This record gives sequence, structure tokens and C-alpha cells, in this order.
Amino acid sequence: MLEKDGTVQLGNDEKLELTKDDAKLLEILSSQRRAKLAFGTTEDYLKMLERMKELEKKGEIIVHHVTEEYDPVGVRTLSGRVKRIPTRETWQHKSCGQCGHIPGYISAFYWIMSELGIPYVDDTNQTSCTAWNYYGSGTSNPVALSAVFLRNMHVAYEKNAYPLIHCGTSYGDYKECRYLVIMNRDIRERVRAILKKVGRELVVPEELVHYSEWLHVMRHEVAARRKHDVSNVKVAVHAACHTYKLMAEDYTYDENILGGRKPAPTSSVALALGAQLLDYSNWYDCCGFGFRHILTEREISRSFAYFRKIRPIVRETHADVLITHDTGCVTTLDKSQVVPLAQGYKETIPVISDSQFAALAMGAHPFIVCQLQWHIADWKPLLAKMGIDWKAAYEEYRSYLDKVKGGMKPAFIRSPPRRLEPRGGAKAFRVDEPVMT
Amino acid sequence: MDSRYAAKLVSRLGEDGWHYGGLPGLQWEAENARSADRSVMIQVVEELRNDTRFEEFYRACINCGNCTSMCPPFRLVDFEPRIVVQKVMHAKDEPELLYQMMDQYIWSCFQCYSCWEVCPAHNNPGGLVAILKEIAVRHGLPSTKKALEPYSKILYKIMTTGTQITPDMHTTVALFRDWGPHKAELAKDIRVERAAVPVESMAGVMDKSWKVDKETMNELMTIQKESGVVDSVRHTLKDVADMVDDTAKEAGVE
Repeated sequence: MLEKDGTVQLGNDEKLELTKDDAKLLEILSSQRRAKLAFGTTEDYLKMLERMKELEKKGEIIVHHVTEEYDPVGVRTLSGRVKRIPTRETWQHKSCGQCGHIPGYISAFYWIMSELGIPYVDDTNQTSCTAWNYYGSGTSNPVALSAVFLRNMHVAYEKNAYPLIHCGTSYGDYKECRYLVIMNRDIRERVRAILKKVGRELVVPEELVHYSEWLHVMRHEVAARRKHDVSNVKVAVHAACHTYKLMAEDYTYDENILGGRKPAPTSSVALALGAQLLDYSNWYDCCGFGFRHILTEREISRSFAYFRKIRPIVRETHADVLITHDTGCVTTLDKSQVVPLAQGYKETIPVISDSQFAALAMGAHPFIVCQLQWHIADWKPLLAKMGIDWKAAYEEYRSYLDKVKGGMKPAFIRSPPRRLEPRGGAKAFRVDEPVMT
Repeated sequence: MDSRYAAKLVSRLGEDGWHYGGLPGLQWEAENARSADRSVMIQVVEELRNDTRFEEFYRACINCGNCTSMCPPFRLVDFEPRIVVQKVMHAKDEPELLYQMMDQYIWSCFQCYSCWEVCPAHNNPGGLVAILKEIAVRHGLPSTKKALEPYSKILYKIMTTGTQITPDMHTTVALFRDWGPHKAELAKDIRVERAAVPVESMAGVMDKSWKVDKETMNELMTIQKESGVVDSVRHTLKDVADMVDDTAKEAGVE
């Protein structure tokens, strides 16, 4: 370690004085030595995957492989590598924001899997990634985030189900954390010690998979079940930054979708369903969420969302719907339209997730399953264009609500029976009676 | 321009005649940095450079401005990822440059990582900001407290339940009032609406995003404590850290 006075500590009491040039050289060399995590380059990303295999071989970590039991489908990622996307027996890593205030995002997704007869696990032994406290507040640290990541991954491993991550931020954060755990011994050992304290081991997924990638590989099965003709529906897509900008190498691209220049998921689903996919100039811009901003600097979020996304999208595409694949994007792009509209701006567009759009096209109930009543921007013209009688559906929903109010238990969307048994020691999935807290 | 103002601008220039970090007129934070404790400034630089992620997030800035051209907050506020990297680049010699950003500047970042994806030198300005935010929290800077206090309830929820925006936040119009009349409509019957969600792990759950097992929350709180998160937060939001401690204690988490 180079000291401030230009010396290097050699032994207990021994110090070596360096010339200025040598000190500089030493600093460069030690800096290069430290630079071994190598975020951000394809070559180094692939090296990390190799390192993961080495650690597995040495017995330092358990790798949760995408085995044939998960019926994987290969996709091309930006790195050029083929990534295996598990299609069944997935462990649903839910998103706190989606479940909290866009419940139709999840219920539509579960409904699709259930309709396709694909088993999954919805676990109550799950936390979010807690990365809000990383990206938004700086109130976490790499060890905590990695421990949370691996705790959840260990639960999925115990349940013998492959983690499928719903939130773009969780997906991005977990990619960062996996990197740190694999490439940095110090963090790995600190995380190991903490996990030991909670009775868990280091289980690292071979692939980190976002649910939009699952929907992408399942799009033809989804399209085969289409009940509503969407060929006259004009669709604009917003891709979430944390899925494809944060460690970009690992997200799905397809040369047949948008020329392979933009991520394939979500656009591919709209195309498979037969909708008209429209491009626009500000495609690359974020939604304006900004973490802290959506809560406490809302004018900034709102202005960005409306003037950099909603308005240009509507003006350029005249789309009927804006589809996206992340929690924050649905929230920001949908809710940020209220104030500009009140101020007299005219451009507006409904904002829903790809899962909701696909489920609607497959004939899911727009309110009981897709929960569109939680969305603000007017979805009625979209439903009308899809040939869905929203008035009748809303009446059904009101009557359903009355029954629930009267004590009726909702008809829960259930996973078809699983083929795989939980691994030894793990509790089978348990759901207690729902409670009104 | 009057001569006194001109002299003030000149006095802000570095020895090489450059003013790192944009137009001098925008650099009101420089004044704050001048009056700050220099030992803290140096410590901030050291903590940044010693962070595991630093060598990966910062390589060398060629000042091309690609990052800024893609930066969402740059469209609306005084924030540029290029400036972040430039100040980091010179921080060792001029720690006050970095410290200027600690006050408020870094809190403008959206953490969208558009900057990272487009940087030809593989710098990650958003990542550097994330490290700086953690340092700001550890040092309990007053501006950090101001930035985080409005959503301390969410910080607490994440640390203790692992979930955040929850349905009970929609029971009043107050929070998210700019959602308009729809919010009032939603708030009216939200408990029934929530009970009717056809997913068993979510139905009826108001105070969390889904039903989280007690043991799961206990494991999470253990992680938060053991990894030093709670102690770090204590420097900035003592009340939140105390509440997490109390909740952990009640739950029997050592």
C-alpha cells in the first residue's frame, strides 16, 4: 500500500521510499490489480460467468442451473451469448411497487401462466431486492444488497423453482450484486458470514432472468390463445432503463425485432399478438421515475415523463397504448398525465404492462384480473378498440366487489400442479388465509 | 459584468485556469464546500477511492459529454454526469470539487444508468453517484438528511419488511395528491379493492406489498444490522435507525 509520504510498508517496521515516478507506477499497477470486477465490458462479463463456474467447481458456491426440468428456451443477448430462459417451475420474485399499487401487473402475469398450464411458485418467503435504498437513498451497501439477493435466491433454490424477477430494478441490482459476489472475495466472504447467521448458503443463479424475457419466449403460445383481434391497435413500447442499460450485456436482443438495435422483449409480444408496433424518437429516454424524485421531487418526474415521453409519443405515433415492462415506468408514465391534462395539454395515452396487454388480448377480465381500475390515463378507448365491452365488464367488477365486501373469497389465480418437489429441508409453499390488515 | 463579480469568478478558477464543473455562475455549492471541514472532504475522497466499486465505475474521462447528452435530469436541473466524473477525476488533488457535489448535486441523479451505457470509456457516473450517496449518508450531511427525511417511512418499511409503496399509503389523498380525482376514488374503497385482488399472497394485505412471512422479515433485519446498514443510516436518520432497532428487538432479532 502506497503511503501519502511516498513510501511503501514492506514488513513490520520496514519501509521503502520510492521515487515519484516509481510511486506513480506502483499506484497505476495496484489500481489495475484492484480493477478486477470489470463491470461494463462484454469480455469481462463473460469472464465473470467463467469465474462463476470455477467457484462452483471449487465448492465455494452452489450454482442454480437452468436445467432441462425448467424447459428452457435460448435467447440471444447483447453480448452475443445465448441465455437460457426457464419457462416453467419458476419462483416469482415479486416487485414491491407492482404488488403495492399496480396489482393487475402481477395478477395478469399469473393468469397467463395459469391459462397456459405452466406451474409456478408465488412465495411469501420473499423480500424485495431493497435496492430502492441503493439507487434512491444511498442507505444500503453492497454487502447488504448482495445478502438480500442471495437470501432470496437460496429460498428459490430450496423450493426447487427458478427465480423469475418481476422488477427491472431488482433485475439490474441483482446483476450488479452477482458480479460483486463472484468477482470480489471480500464481499463474498462477508455475505457468506451473514447468510450463515440466517441459516442460508451462497446459491447463485446461472442466469438472471427478467419476466419480460419469459413473456418474450412464450409470446407465440400467448398469441395462440388470443381472443381479441388487436391488429388495429397501435402500440408504443417503453423499455425500462434498469433492464437494458444497467449491465447491458445480459438482456435479450433479437435481430428480427426492431432490427436488433433495441431490446426485443415487450416489442416482440406486441408483434406476436398482431398489434402495430410504432417507433418514436425519444425511445431511449427514461420514464422520469428517478426513485427519490417520484416521491419528493415530483415536478421533475412529472415534467420529464410528460414532456419527454408522453407528449412526443402521442404526437409522433398516435398510439392507442403505451406498453412497458417495469414498475416505475408504469407508475410514472401513467400518473404523470393528470397534472398536464388539468393544465390544458391534450396528449394522453393509457399505460399498462406487457403482461396486462397480453392477458387482455387473451380474454382476461379487464378489472378482476388486469385491475385496470388502478390505472389513471384513460384506458376505455383502448378496450373499445380491442373489442372489449368495458361497461359490462365494469358492472361485473362492481358486483364482484360487492360480493367480496359481503365476505366472498376471491377466486384466486392458482398455479397448475408442480412437477418438481422442494429440495430437502425446504417447506412446501404455504398460503394462509388472506387477511384484512 | 462588474469587476468584483469578475474577480470572484476568476478566484474560483483552478491553478491551470480551468473551472472544473460547468459554468462558474452555477457553482453556488462551491461556497458551501469552502466553509466545510477539510478533513471530512479528504475522508470523502478516500472513502470513494477505496470503495470496491470505484475502480470499475471510474476509468478516465475524455470529456465527450455523451453521458450528459443522454441524462434525464440534465434536461431539467443543474446536473451533469460529465461533471460528476470530472470532479471525481480531480478529487484527489482538489477534494473540495468532490465535496461541492455532496451537498445537493448528487441527489438530482435519476440512477437510470443511461450515462453508463453510452460512455465510450466505460465510466459509470450513475454508479459513482450511488457510492457518493452512501458516503453522504454515512457522514450524516445535513443536506442528505433533508433529502431523505420526506420518505423516511419508506426507508423504514424496506429495512423491516422488504417491501415499500404499500396500499395503505393510498388510503388518504395526501400522499400522491397529483394523481388527481382518481386517487380519491381509489382511496374510497381501497380495502375492499385490495381484498378482491385475485392473488392469494396479495389479497387483503394493506401494510406490505404482499404477505411477507415473519421469519423472512427477521432474516432481512438480521442482514440490515449485520451488514452495517442500520448503523450507517443512524448518522443521517437516527429516528429511522432507532425504529428499525426497536422493531428488530420486538421480533427477537439479535
